Amino acid sequence: MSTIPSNEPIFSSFRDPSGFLFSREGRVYRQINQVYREHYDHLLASGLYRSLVNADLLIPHQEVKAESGGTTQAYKIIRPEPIPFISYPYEWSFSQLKDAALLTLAIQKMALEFGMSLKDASAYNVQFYRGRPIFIDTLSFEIYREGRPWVAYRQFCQHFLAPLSLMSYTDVRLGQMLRLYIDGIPLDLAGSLLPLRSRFRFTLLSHIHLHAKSQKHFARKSVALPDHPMSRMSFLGLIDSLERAIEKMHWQPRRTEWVDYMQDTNYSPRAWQHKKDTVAAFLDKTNPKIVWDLGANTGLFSRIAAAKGALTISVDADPACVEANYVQCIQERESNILPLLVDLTNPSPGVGWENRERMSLIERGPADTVLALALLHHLAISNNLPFDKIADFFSRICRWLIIEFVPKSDSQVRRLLTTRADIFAEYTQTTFEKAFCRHFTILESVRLKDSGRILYLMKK
Amino acid sequence: MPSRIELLFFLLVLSLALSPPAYAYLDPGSGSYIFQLLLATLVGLLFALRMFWGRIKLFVKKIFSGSASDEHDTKQ
Repeated sequence: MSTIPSNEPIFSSFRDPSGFLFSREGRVYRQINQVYREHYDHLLASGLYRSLVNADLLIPHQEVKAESGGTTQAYKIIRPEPIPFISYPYEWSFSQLKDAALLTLAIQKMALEFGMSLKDASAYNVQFYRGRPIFIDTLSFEIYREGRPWVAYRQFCQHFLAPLSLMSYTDVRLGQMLRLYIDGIPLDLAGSLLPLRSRFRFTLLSHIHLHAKSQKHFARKSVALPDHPMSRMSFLGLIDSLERAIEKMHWQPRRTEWVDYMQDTNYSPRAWQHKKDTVAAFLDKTNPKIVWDLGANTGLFSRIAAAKGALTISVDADPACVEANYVQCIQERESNILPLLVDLTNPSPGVGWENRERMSLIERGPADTVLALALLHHLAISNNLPFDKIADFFSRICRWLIIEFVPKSDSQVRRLLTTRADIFAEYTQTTFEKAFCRHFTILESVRLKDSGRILYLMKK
Repeated sequence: MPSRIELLFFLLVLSLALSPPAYAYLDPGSGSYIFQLLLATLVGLLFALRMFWGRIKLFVKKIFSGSASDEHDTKQ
């Protein structure tokens, strides 16, 4: 046990009366309030905590001395193992959200075995850590009272079942609705967006369509409720039904998209190898702990950074790329790549109460090193962003920058210009360097073999 | 996919439940609560049947594998 000094509350955990998160000197702590004492003690004494941690389902923690860290309501202060990068459900691919849903149900099943139950089934209680989803809210467990239903049932349906069914049955981009609805997608809205065939699947008919109808029917109505309305067998049946519903949901990107990814490059084999070697050499010079690979596609260059031991946040705006990247991470058991779905022209904002419950992308930085490979022309030409604005953005999110300049003569840039008037007179190597030198020092630049493209290593 | 009987039963239970007695005010989440009770009763029953059926299969399997290993032992 160690003693900690006074605290700085973390905004994301203010709703829970059981306790809250705070940080001090860069470490995150969680206060457990007296009101949660009985449940916390049961979590540890029953063996549930140890079983969950041993199965890599729950984040481990250490208890620290409470005197100087907590408020008067404090029962205990714990220090959870730190998560190096926080991500949100609207930044996850289909399979990431699906795995987070299955994790939540696996935890609920194990909790019941030890006489406890989850009182929250929020997707925000799951984070990706060492390549896998893990539950981070130690205060979500309550003692199970025989006969009580699952208080988190509606939240589970809104946070997991509704977005996954929309992504699977309607359009994968509807996962972005989680950004709009912070407590999950309303079930009546999900029901109205799902196709007719979803009503022929018993799990979706019941957990979404009829569930939404029931919500509407009983809104503002008064009813008598029995004291012990739900047997343990019914509880297990409900969890089993949700698990089957999630397991049966799939999303497969169309084959043509995959083919495009493989062919969407104009490098010769020699230029390609030279690019990989140069990026690797630049990474060695920056020796980063955290890398953000922006416009990562399926993560080829992310893997070069990850192989050097950096936690690599592998960002792309295409759901199919992020899905392929995550599937590869799981198949290859890669522990230090986190694929995320982010559109850089409209990155995740601060959302929720006071715009502070969930952090913006920029707030979660800066990264030690940012990789921006084959990205500049998409920002500057496809999105009309001036070099000055692009440089401003990069200066806010990194200390080192590895960036590729793609000249106008490049076939990929010419392709972008075939459908647009060339209003990009400023798109030259000179103006690029001038814009970035306002924030960065250019340490090295390397022209790729068999190509007009130039790789830069810059330092803020 | 559920059988047609399961679906009919489920819809019958739901329709019966849509006219409960009024005693106390409940928040808008009450629709979820009541629906959960009904649905859990049905899926809990199916879950119990599946477990029961699984145990029967295991029991039968044990009998056959037991007699097979007896045979094997005799041959040895």
